[in-house]
Amino acid sequence: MVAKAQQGERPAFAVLVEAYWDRLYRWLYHVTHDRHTAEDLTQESFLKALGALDSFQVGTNFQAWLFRIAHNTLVNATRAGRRNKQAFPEQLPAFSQGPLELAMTREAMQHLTRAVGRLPHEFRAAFLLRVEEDLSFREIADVLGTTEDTARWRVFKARKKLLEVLSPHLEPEVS
Amino acid sequence: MNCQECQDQLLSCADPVAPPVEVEAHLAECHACRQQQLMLLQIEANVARVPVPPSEVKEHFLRQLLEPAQPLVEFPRPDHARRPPPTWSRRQWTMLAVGCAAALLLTVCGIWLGNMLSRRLHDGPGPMVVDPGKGKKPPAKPLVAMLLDCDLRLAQAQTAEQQVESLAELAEVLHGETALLAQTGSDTELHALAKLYAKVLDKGLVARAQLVPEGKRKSTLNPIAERLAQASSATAKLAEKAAPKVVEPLQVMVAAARTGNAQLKALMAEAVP
Repeated sequence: MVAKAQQGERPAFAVLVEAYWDRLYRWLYHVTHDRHTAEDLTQESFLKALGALDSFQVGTNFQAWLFRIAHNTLVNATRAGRRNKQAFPEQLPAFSQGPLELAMTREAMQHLTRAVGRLPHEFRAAFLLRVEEDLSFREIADVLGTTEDTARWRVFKARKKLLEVLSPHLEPEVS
Repeated sequence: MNCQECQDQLLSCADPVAPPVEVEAHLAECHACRQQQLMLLQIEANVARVPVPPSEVKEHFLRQLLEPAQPLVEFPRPDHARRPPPTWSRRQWTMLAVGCAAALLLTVCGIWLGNMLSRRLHDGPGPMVVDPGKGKKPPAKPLVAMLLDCDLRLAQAQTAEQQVESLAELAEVLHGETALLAQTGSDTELHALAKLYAKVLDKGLVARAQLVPEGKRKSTLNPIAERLAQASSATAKLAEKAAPKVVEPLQVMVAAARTGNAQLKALMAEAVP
């Protein structure tokens, strides 16, 4: 599909937009805590990706490439002072259903939402790329412009912090 | 391996479901560490359930992407398929033809909108009725006159930069009118304004912005992109407080302004070596 998009086939690029829009927007929302900013950055990232498709190497991870563009766009916007640090939003849509065997209570989900939102920005960005996007530490490092060890350390710190904050609210059943 | 080492490795491995063998061995014997592992798995399994407000501009973006007449940005083509750069006269002719077409379209839309709004003013009293005999303040410049002013400037524009600036002014006039109508007008009028606003940005401003020479793009397009960002933000705030029947056209305008802003930025980025 990427190769077709590189040939200038817009429907092929539209398929990529359809496939990655929600994931990219979701990550950017988690990082920025602002819907409008996340939407603007998502649009801008796809436009940049469209303009730079010829620089993408077929066979490498398109998702990691796209997220790297998004991260650079976010960094540039922050440097330009366009995006202010947002407080964590208190009102959010309802929780969706999860796998029953690992399901959390409503209260625990609220704690989790808050705890993820309050992680330091760089830990949150790396942690979500690992857990939600299933990127390797090498790919996370590429997206965030850092080393593999730093990416691993950020995920480690995020997990540690979440466990500290959430363990009183979790009820694991160990057989 | 002690518990501390086990837990550190669990936290730093790629997937705590399948940790390294030595960690697995410790977990098989240690209840406390298994409990840690299960809590971590529980957290990671539920992160995807953390709610995020839905994105509302994807469909608009896809529609624009698939519209064949309006390239968002130039696709890279093989060298043999690249057209030679347009000559100055060809470019001039293109700009003139596009400018005339846009001027005609805007005149027709402006007169139609002006007639519609004037008829509304004559039909009965309302918040927008202005009586110059009684009012202390001079009457506001009617929309049709403002549109025709912009239209005239557009027709007289000699360069792509001037055309883009005229179209940006026109978009701002329409945006200002929307703010008024959102409080006092009907949803039919707002729908018409929103469509015209989106068309001015998409078919006019962004299309013409592609013709601005690369060396002048940043200075011409950056202030307009910033104004579009402000317009998008102001309209989004307006939509939050507006009556339900006028929310949809306001959202159309928010999406159009955001897309316009993103496209101008992409054009500026293209121009940066």
